[in-house]
Amino acid sequence: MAHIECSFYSQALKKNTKCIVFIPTVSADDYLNETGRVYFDAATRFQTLYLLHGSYGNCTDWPLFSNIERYAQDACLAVVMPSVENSAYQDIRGGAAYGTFCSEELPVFLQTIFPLARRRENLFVAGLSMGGYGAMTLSFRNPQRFSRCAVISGCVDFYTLMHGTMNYARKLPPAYKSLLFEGRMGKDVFDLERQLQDTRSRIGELPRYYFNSGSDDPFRTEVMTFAGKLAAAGCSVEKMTAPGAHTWDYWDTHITDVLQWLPLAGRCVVES
Amino acid sequence: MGFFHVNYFSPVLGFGTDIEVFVPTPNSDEILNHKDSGYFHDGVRFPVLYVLHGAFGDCTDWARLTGIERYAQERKAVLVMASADNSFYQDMYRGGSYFTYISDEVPEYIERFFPVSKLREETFIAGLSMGGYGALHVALARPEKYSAAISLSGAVDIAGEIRRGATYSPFCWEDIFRDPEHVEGTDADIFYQLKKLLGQKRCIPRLFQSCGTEDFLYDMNRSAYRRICDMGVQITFDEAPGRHDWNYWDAGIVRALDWLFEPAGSGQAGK
Repeated sequence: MAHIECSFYSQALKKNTKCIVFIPTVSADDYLNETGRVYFDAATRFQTLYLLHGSYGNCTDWPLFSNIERYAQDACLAVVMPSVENSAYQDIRGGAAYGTFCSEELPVFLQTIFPLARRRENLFVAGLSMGGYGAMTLSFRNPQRFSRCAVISGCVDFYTLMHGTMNYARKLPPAYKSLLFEGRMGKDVFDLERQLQDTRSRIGELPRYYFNSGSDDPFRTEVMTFAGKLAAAGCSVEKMTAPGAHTWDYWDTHITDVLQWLPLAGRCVVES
Repeated sequence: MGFFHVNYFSPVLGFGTDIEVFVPTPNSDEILNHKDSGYFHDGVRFPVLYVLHGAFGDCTDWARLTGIERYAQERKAVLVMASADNSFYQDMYRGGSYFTYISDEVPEYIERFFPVSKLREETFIAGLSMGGYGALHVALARPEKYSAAISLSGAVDIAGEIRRGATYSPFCWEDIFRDPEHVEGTDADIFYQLKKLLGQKRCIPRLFQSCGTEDFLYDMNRSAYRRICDMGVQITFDEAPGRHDWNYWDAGIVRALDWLFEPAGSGQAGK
């Protein structure tokens, strides 16, 4: 179980950044119980989940607040966790291009460094809250990258949400809000409905979607409505609601549903 | 300039531990100064230098206390830094199996998970003080794996180091060796390792040995150098004013890298 903190310069962000990469290796459990699991066949690569954090977070959230690394070890799945500030996984015009970074630069960079899967069928994206929004926006931006997109407790209308009265909106430092919404970026940049419209001619290229929100999640109605629109547009969509709210208890429990839904091989895969 | 801090479970040690890895990647210097970043591409396998820490240290020392990342970026080499406690890079009689860890497990993991060359001519090992000895010891134990070894201020004569009995020593020799009084002439003794390789007519890695003239290990290094030369083994000796400290190692690793990456056969003459 290798937890790797990566520090490097990003051309899309024009600055140094960090991400966490988890790669399954011989675990203490493998060692103690002689499971015989194989991690070292050089002809193989690891299926990879890009796992996105929410607002007010960073790349350490998922490994610190959930058991994702243990679940991924069991599934022989590599997990990539980037840091994007509160950018909603968008390219900030003239600034740090977080959308380009997550959907293009980072996968290519990490595939060059590590034995991570390159083929779309073995690459997945998921996220919670703003990260769920991010997973969707990345899937529209670059449908060729990921074959599955899982949205946990996701939000849809990031612009309207961030102009509302919830603490979630009010607590974002005003100057950062201004960077996102009052500078060179308009409301439409954040509008998933518009992004879906723009992709309408290529609906068949989009990944399969999975939505999971707690029954008490404030964003649930909105995101499930959007899931319905995706399905109506012709996308493959699965939905699930379980008791729970917008909390790490929920995300730690239900990330396992996402792993169940993904087509995981349970071992390293051969990509010819 | 990609820096990777790896925390993982080590089957050889039986506990979780850390490795730090530097990989040359496109950086701001290349953008600002119009340098080519084309070296970083799909399928690339960089030359790799394993860099060993000294006593009292761990895998973070080299990156924190020298400019080695910058020097490796200039030369487009991967650096690998692992932690070996105060083991003197031995499979301890009582303690961790650090020789096996450093010589076998770490390269196995690095070659699987990072873009490094597996070619002997692109695989090197270096270290300072205890790690200077360690670099020679590991390279001579795996001469088909490493084409060059670098010792900076190394405690290269381990039997002499045990006899020296330094008062500051963090080494519990009774735990490191079953019989610490008779290490001379065993596989822990680099002179014996060299003698064996010569006898078996096996390849010997290129060797670079450096020590500061005011270092408490200077006399040991001079005499070891003479012994190695007398055996007929090629070795480059490098010295400069300096003590057993990071000023010496930060400058010394640059001279060592210059030696390492210059064409074979054009090495500066030993003194």
